[in-house]
Amino acid sequence: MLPIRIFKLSLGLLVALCLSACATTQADSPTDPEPEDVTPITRVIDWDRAIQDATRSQGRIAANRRDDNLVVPLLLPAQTVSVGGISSRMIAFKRPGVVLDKKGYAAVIRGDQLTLLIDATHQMIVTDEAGNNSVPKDFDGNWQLADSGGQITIGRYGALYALQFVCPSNAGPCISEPSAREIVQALQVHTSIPK
Amino acid sequence: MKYALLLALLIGTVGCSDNRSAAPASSSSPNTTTDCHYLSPGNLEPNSGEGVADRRIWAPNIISPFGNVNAVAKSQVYLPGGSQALSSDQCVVQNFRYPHRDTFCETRGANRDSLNCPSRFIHQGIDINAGDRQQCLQQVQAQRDVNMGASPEVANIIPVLAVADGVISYIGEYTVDLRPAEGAISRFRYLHLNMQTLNVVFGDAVKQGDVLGYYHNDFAGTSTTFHLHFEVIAFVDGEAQYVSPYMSFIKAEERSKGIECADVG
Repeated sequence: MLPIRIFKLSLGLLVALCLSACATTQADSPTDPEPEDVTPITRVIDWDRAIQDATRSQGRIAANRRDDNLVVPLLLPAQTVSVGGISSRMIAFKRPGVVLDKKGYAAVIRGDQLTLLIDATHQMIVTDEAGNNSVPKDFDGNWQLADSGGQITIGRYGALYALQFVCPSNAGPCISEPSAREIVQALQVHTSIPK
Repeated sequence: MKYALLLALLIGTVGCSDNRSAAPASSSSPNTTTDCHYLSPGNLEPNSGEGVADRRIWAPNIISPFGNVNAVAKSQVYLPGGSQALSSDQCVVQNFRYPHRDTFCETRGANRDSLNCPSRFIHQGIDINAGDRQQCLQQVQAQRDVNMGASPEVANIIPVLAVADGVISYIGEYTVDLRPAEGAISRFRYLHLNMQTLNVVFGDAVKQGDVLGYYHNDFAGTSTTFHLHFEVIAFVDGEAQYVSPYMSFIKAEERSKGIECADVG
């Protein structure tokens, strides 16, 4: 009888030990916070000012021909832009490829030494927990380095424009921050895709 | 006592085992549908840089770029086949097995900005291995065949999908950008697809799940390991920023495969 009792006791002890080990393992597993979703907000566009500026640069007839599918004012560089101050060089841009969508537009403008990508939107994520949008309507953002070039975000008329300067991969850096900012200054506002 | 020990061992094995040892979902997948697990965001490969614990899901509604094909976020530089690894075999089984691992802030030689990586010399995206060892070997062989004159289509083995509805907003030397129709994402950037056989051109409207192209190793004329480098650029507090795609990808994997992935720290 004694061996059976010992067997039962041992069995009970071992089951308890194992269950406690399992519980400990689970309790030790990470209890990191749940992943968090982010929600975008929509910014208000100052179309009156955009049309005024377009009238100044394109003329009244062109400015009044506003494309109804355009959610944000269309900013595009001039065909040629002089950059580099005293040792200046001209950057010639080809005709832009533009696609419009419900939140703005995307443009690809190929230049002779670089490609300019523009992503324009009226939507952004706000990290302020109260959801406060303290971003001004007009601003020039930081120069950020990317793979083979860089990018700047600017605010105009309430819309946001990410301008990414892409250099050919075998050419090394093809644009400096001051030159990129000169291209930003040379952007022109349009109210429809230029023909 | 002998029986008690045997019984206890048996209970221990069954009771304490997790689902990771379950049978594979399909004969070709190195992972099972029940064993998905990931290392916490910011937990990088040892000596590969300093990560950041960003748990935010910047792109909440995307699907996996590989749909229900096995896909695992992994370092392509610090694991076998990579330039910082001891082994040159990019097709080892471990490269296709869970856990997922974050590589967003992994060290790189180029100076690049991001929303919150501690260093500026970083990766800016995550790397994803797709398929399994068999498909990898097939892909390597197909690439050799292409180099010997075969059609580039022979290397098209694993399709890469649009993670969201949107438009193709840029096609570069080894880059395809998808601008989603909704939300504050500026672009999803796919690198290293088979650029000779893309299914899309600039301006194409695509639906979530459409095939954009094929998993490959294009790197502007040279090659890298077979992997997808995936980036998310979002408008955050007024600026377009490179944000970590890691948790968005994990959630996308869960959505596409109907699974739940456990954070294992």
